[in-house]
Amino acid sequence: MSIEISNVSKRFNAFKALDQINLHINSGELVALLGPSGCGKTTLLRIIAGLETPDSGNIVFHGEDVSRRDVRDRNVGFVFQHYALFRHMTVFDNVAFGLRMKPQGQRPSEAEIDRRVHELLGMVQLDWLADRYPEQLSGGQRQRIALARALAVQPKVLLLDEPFGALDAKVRKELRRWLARLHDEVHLTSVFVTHDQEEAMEVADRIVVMNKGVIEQIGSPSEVYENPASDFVYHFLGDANRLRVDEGEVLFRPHEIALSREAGGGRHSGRVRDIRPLGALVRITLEVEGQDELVEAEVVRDQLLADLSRGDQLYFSPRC
Amino acid sequence: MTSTTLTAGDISAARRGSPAGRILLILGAYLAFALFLLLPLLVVLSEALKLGLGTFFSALLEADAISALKLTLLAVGISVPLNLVFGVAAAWCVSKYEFRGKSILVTLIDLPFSVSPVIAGLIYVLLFGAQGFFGEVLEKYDIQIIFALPGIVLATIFVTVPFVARELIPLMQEQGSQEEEAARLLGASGWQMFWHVTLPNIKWGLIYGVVLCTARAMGEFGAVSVVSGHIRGYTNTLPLHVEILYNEYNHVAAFSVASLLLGLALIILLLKQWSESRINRLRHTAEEE
Repeated sequence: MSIEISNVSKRFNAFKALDQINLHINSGELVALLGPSGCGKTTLLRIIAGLETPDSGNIVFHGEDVSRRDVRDRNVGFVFQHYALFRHMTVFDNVAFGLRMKPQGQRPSEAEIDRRVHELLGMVQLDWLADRYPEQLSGGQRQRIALARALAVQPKVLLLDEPFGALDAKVRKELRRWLARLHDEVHLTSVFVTHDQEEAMEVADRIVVMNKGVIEQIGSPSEVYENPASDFVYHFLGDANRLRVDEGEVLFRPHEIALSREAGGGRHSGRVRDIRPLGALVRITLEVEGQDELVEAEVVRDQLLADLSRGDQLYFSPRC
Repeated sequence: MTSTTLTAGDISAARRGSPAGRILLILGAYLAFALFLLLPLLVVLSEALKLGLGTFFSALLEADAISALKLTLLAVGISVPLNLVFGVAAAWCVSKYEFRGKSILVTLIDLPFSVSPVIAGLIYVLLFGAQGFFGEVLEKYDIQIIFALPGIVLATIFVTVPFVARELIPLMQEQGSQEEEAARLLGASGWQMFWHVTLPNIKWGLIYGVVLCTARAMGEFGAVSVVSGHIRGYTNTLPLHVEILYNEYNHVAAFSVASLLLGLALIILLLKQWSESRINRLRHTAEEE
């Protein structure tokens, strides 16, 4: 199901959370709302879900205006950042909740509910936890139960608020890939909010970069990375070096650099301040005369670096 | 988690202090407890039983005492459920919504704690008494509020309003409204959400608040004394009955009835202890998250 967001604005007292947001999300797409905290991404997600009402603008699901429709009639699956599992219910009851709350007539029989819940728990690979309470689960397990609970009512749209934010780095990576795989299988129109560009890059089909209540750029991960529409997008999507030259300044990423021991060829000089191994790459931090900002270079290990030490003089040129 | 480790730290810090000082403090606490709490309780019981069990029970089974007990239970039975509904509603408003005048509402809920109960009783006399603000209208329709059950219930409600709300507001604020939002998103109606999600989460806090409210409602003297009119057998609650007996130099009967109140208080204390331990357990698991 496609989602059309047109001219949505929202204020919280004097604070402008969203300003004239327009966004089209295709059916079956996985979209990331990416931006720093306070940029309005969570507010936008909550407006799509119906948890907040926009001051102006419309939300249209598959040609149908749902702006005035109550949360419970929008049929969206929502996964909260801190999961919001019902703490006094077992995992099974949590997942069954949506089915049991259906009005009589639409409500499946207990046997059917039992079957569906176990199917969902199987899908998130946690069937063996059915009788546990949320407090007995790890963060990653809670996250997957929250997802199973959201999917139980067969939503047409899946919304996730910082789905991996509260997890440690390793679990986060695993779950991220798992979610991307799951999306490939289920093909549910999904929107997730994140402040982590790496996460957006790795999981999303398209990235919506937001800042201060407006959309800075919409595009595929490679589009936003390679052709950033603004300085903000450039800086937000990765580390950036700023080098002062006569006319102004040059921006380049740490891997967009050529290093040499020899001067000449328009190369700038810098003094090695730090050397850090990063797996396949090495990060070298350079002090450059005439500016306080340091320049970082991430380059492949090679002969040049073999006997490099702090305080050495190096020459570099940005390759943009 | 943090607060548990902190208290553990505090305890060990206290243990490291001089043992003599510690013993002195503990002894002081026990002494104060014995002197101000235990001794009066024992005096009440011993005075009540001074002339034997026969006199004790005859004081309890006397018609006026029975009617006072009935009236007390009736007043409690009306005012506590009303306060329960009001308390839950108020706590819900304050913890789940942002609105203008919220801090004023919270302050107003606390008002009965700061206003003397006698003043509270007087307010009702001034409002509903024969010479009061609504006096004429009430007289016209022959409605008796002051010196009757409605007045006693009103006064009791006024004095006990804060207990349920005060207990629930911090609990509900701590829990936030995400579980409720999740329930709505999963298709629950307002009532289903309250019944299946909110109520189980606040259950123990609610029981605790109700227990405190009941205790206060049963023992209320000042406000009820002003509006009741002390009509024996009609508008006397247990605490008022005790006072009357005492003023008539009928000490044994007064203390007998007092020990009845005491017994009810002890039951409530046990209930309180039990619900409190359940809340602490809930808090504990919440902190571990």
